[in-house]
Amino acid sequence: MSDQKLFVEKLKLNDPQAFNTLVDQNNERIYNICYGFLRNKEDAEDAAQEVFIEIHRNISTFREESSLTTWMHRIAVNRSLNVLRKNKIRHFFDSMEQIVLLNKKEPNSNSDPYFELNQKELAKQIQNAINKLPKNQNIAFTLHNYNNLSYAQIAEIMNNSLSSVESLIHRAKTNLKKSLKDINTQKP
Amino acid sequence: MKTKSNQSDYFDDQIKIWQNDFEAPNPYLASIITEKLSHQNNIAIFPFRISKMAFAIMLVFGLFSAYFLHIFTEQNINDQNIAQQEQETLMLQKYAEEMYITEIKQSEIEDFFKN
Repeated sequence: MSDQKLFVEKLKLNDPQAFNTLVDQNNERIYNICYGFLRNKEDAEDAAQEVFIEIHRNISTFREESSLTTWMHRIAVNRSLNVLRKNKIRHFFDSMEQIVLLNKKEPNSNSDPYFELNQKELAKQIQNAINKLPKNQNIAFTLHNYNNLSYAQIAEIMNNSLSSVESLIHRAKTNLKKSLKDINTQKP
Repeated sequence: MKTKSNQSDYFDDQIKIWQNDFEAPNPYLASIITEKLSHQNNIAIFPFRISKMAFAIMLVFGLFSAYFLHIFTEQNINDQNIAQQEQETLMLQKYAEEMYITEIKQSEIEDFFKN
């Protein structure tokens, strides 16, 4: 029996030591995947915790058709997308609040507000554009460009062929270029 | 061609900004997760998640509300029926009294002419 299989068996037997090892080895990787989609430290930490709880609950159903890492990545992506969906309403109210606050903000004659946008805000704008991509394109693009996963790994996580992943990433880039161009042209 | 390449460079720059946007997690994240997992063993007997519990509570609440609404409307309909019946009885009584009075009047008129 390979080390990997033995480790999975231990997890299935609810061995606390095996779970500790799993968490120690993978918590940052899972956090990074969640952060790639959520762009918020607290949300990504919460999502990472939920991912491990879900792994703990469902390890008995893991059929070992894919590697444990792929399975964990899949759970992390699904969990992140769930959080994103739940956050949509919250973000709507946040953006409404921002609009109200921006309207209330007194104009500063010394500086152009668009130059005040720091890199964090720009990254947020890009993330918004990525979130507007179709779901599959968003997943493929984020996993490849943010989490540096290979096409093969992404294909395995998304249960897709290698060529369709390539095509998804290509289409994502084209769409993203268009929407980022729109954002840039909207600026005065 | 040059413009296209410039556009592509600009896109790559933007993506780099996005890629560099990162906040490191709490250094104790692993121990927090381990701690939570250890609790999971103790609460595993309770098989429902919060969302399912919330759904069950809402369902029970909904059923109770529907039942009470049903009782309330039924009571109202009964009250309305009783009120209507009472009103009808009163009207009949009034009608009967009026008829009686007119009959008396009629007999009085007849008596007067006879006399």
